[in-house]
Order: sequence, then C-alpha cells, then structure tokens
Amino acid sequence: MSNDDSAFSRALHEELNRRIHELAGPDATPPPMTRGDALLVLALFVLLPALAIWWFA
Amino acid sequence: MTATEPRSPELDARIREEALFGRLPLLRSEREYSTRGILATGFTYAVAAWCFLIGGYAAKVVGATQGVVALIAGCVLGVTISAAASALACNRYGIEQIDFCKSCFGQTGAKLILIFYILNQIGWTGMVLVMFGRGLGNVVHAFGGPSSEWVTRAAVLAGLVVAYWVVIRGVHVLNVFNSIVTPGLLIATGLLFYVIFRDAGWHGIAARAPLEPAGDARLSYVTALEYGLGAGFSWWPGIGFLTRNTDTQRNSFYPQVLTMGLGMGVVCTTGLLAGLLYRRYDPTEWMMQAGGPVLGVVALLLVAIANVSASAMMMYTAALALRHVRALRVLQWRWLCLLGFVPVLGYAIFPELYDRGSAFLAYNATMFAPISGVLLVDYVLLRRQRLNVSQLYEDDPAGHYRFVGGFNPAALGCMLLGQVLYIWLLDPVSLNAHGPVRFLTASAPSVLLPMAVYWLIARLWLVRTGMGGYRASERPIQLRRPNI
Repeated sequence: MSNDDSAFSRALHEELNRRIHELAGPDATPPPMTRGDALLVLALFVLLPALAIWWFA
Repeated sequence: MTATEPRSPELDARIREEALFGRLPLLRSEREYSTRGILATGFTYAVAAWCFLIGGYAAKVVGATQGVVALIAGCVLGVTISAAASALACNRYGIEQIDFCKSCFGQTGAKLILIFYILNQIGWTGMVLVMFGRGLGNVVHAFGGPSSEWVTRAAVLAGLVVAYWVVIRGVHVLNVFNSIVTPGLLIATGLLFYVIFRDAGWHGIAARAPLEPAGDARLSYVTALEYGLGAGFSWWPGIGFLTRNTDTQRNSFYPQVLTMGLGMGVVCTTGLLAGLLYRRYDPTEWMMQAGGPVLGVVALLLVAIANVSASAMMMYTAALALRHVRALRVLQWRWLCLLGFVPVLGYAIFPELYDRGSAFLAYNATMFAPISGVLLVDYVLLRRQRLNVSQLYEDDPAGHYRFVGGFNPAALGCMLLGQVLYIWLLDPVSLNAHGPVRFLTASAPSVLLPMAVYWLIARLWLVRTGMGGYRASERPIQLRRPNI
C-alpha cells in the first residue's frame, strides 16, 4: 500500500467514525414514514394495481 | 483515538466523492435531491430505451388491454415492493444498498446478494448494448449496407469502449448524455403514441392478437404481468443508490413509484402497442416502420445514445458495488471498472442472447422479489425501522450483523425458498408453469411466503437468542475491524 493509499484509508476511517456519531445525534436522520403513509401506499400502490390485475384477468 | 489532523484539499475531495458515490453514510445536510430533483432524476432513469423492448416482450403474449394493465400494474407493484424494502432504510441512514443488506443477510451473506446485484447490472448492460448494435445494424442496412450479426458485434464492442471511457472519466459525463437523451426519448414516446393512434386507433390496436399467442390465455396474462413485475424489480439495485441522496422519507419513496413505476409502465406500453401494430417485438425493427426512413433513423440513433448512456450508468454502479469485496478494494478505479466490463463481452460474442431477454426480465423478479420481501419484514416489522449504523461497518465477530459466521441462515434460506418457489411456479426460461401460478402469479407467493416464514423464524430464534442486534440500541459502538 502506498503512502497516499494509507493516508486515504486513515482519513476514511476517521470520517466514517465522525459520520456514524453525527448520525446518532438529534434530528440527524429523517423521521420515519407514518402509519398514514403505510395505509396510503397499501391502498394506492398495492391494492389498486392488484384489483386492476384481477379485474382484467 | 487521536485528534483529527487537517486534510489536504485532494484528500478532502476524495472523501467527499466517497460519501456521494461510495460507501460513507451521507449526512442529512449533504442530500442533493428534494421532490423536484428526485422526480427529474427518476424520470431520467425510468424513460430508457429498454422500456420499448419490455413492451415488445409483452406484445408477444397478450393483446393491448391486458398488456397495458399488466405492464403498468406490474411496474408499480414491483417498484413499490423494491422501494419499501430498500429506499426507506438507505434514505434514513444515508447508506449504500449492499451495506443495508448486511443488517438482514449478515456481513458475508450480503455479498451473495451482491452477486445478484452485479448479474442484474451486467445482464441489462449486455441487453441494451446488443439493442444498440441491432439498431445501428438496421441504420446501416437502411443506407444500403450489409445486414449482418457482425455489425452488431462490432457495435457492442464500440459501445463497451465508449461506456468504459465514460465510467472512468466519472459519472458527471453522463449528465451531458442525459440532457440530450431524456427529452429526446420523451419526444419519441409522444410521437410514437401519436403515430400509433393515427394509424390504427385504440379499437384497431385492441383488436390485434398477440404476436405469439399461446393456447393458455390465463398463463399468457400472468407471463406479461411477470414481465411488468420484472421491470419493476429490476430497479432494486439502483433504488438505494438514488434514495440515500434524497432529503425526506417521502421523497425516497413516492417519486420512485411515480417515475420508475408508473412512468416506466406508461413508456413500456408504447413498445407494447407498437409491437402489436407493426407485428414485431424488437424496437430496432419497428422503429423504421413507425417513423419512416428519416424519423426512424433519428429515433434509432437516439435509442443508441440512450443505451450507451444507460450501460455506463449501470457499470458505474456495478464497479462501486465491487468495492465491497475486500480483495478488489485495492484495485485502481480503472482496473475495477474493467473487471466489471469483462463479462459483458459475452454479449459481443453471443449477441443472440438478446433474443432470450424476456427470460432475463423474468429472472429479475425471480431474484429480487424474495430478497425484497425478506428485507421488508426485517427492516419494517422486526427492526421497527431502526439500525445501528456503526455495526454495518463492523467486521469483528462480535458485531451485531455477523449472525452465524457472517451469514444469516434464516434470511438466506427464506430468500432461496422464494427463488425456488418462483422457478417451480413459472420457469423464466422455458415458461413451464406449475401449481396455482395462473391465479396467484409467481411473484406474489415468492414475496409473501418468504416474508411469513422469515418473520416466524426470526421471532422464534434470532430475536429470542439476541442474535442480529434486533433489540440493541442505535448508539454507535467503537469499530474494531472497520470493513471500509
């Protein structure tokens, strides 16, 4: 491994560590989808296409 | 840990690249796509030349009405399941897709998923390059040149060289291609709809029989639906790459369903209707009929550019994914890319593989339907949408996502169960059908059964024994053997 590669590898590990800790902070990740979203997805993108498939079979 | 030393601008730039296109988690403040951005990018991906080909495969087995339903509903369902399984987690933690898979399949088990991922990218690259070659061959023929498979082979090789050049120059070059291709393909799609309806009208097309009608109409409909689902599931490898860069969970999900699902389904129907009208499934053949000698050649050239651009994009993501293999991580970028391109040479030697493309399309549903199902149960139901990010990068045997020697046998076994079940229900190569496939399709049982079995095994074994970090805190743990 060259000096450049070893410096990059060290910097990469430091950066990974920094990011992992930052992600654990408050408001660092987008809030998860709500139950309402789940129901909407189920109705609109799962049940509706399934109904159309069944109807035209 | 020692204090962080100041980094050179070159090193900073490399680290930034690694976050944007590599494996470092992308922070919320670094995300590039809001609603408008992800919609535009999604359309760029979705409106691709292979849509015409997928529609053509459907035209072989079903008529217009059933074909439109099968393609649109299939694409929407396939993308919805793929996105629910991967987009939400990749977006929430800004992580790369194979890294996310480690939480479910294990640190080493995820590398088995990597094989399916790479096969998908190589397969589609080969398919679109042969399509590019056939298109170019037809243009040569239109100008009085020879019509030979050797023209296709030469074009595939030339396409490979151009795609390789683009990949080693960096993904930014693709933006130039895409700024021409996407509006061009949208215009071509609009013109095609106009020409099709001008020439035949809806009733005229709806009355046309499929190109290769089978005796079993119900099975033909299911086959067309599996093509639509296969097209939707084909996005599984690309979804994480895109959605880790979106700002909210909603933007990681809904735009994908609208563009890669609904949008792609609508563009696929162009290929279906044109195939039924011009009685040929291959867009490189019917485009000349639809557009005449001038517009047909322009459309074919546009498709050619689109295909080279798509090939470069897929091989770029394939090369990035290869970095998960420790032995390959030391390779320079240009050698890593070259390694990805080698298997695609098979398509230059055997361009007739293109004629088995429908089998490859269904293969995508075979592979990714069960994977998506197992990932969905693991992340949403068992982990309640929470991961310990630090452990995704931990190769130490004590790491949360090591399971049994780096493999989660429950998840891998359930994935295999789904894949075998799919092949038994509907063999994607021979289209031999067994069991209740005519009523249940092949994809639905291959998603639902592994989901149910995995949920049960995980609750009874993994969660109870504390394996897999299902009840562990999200707080970071100091890495002992980072795998990056």
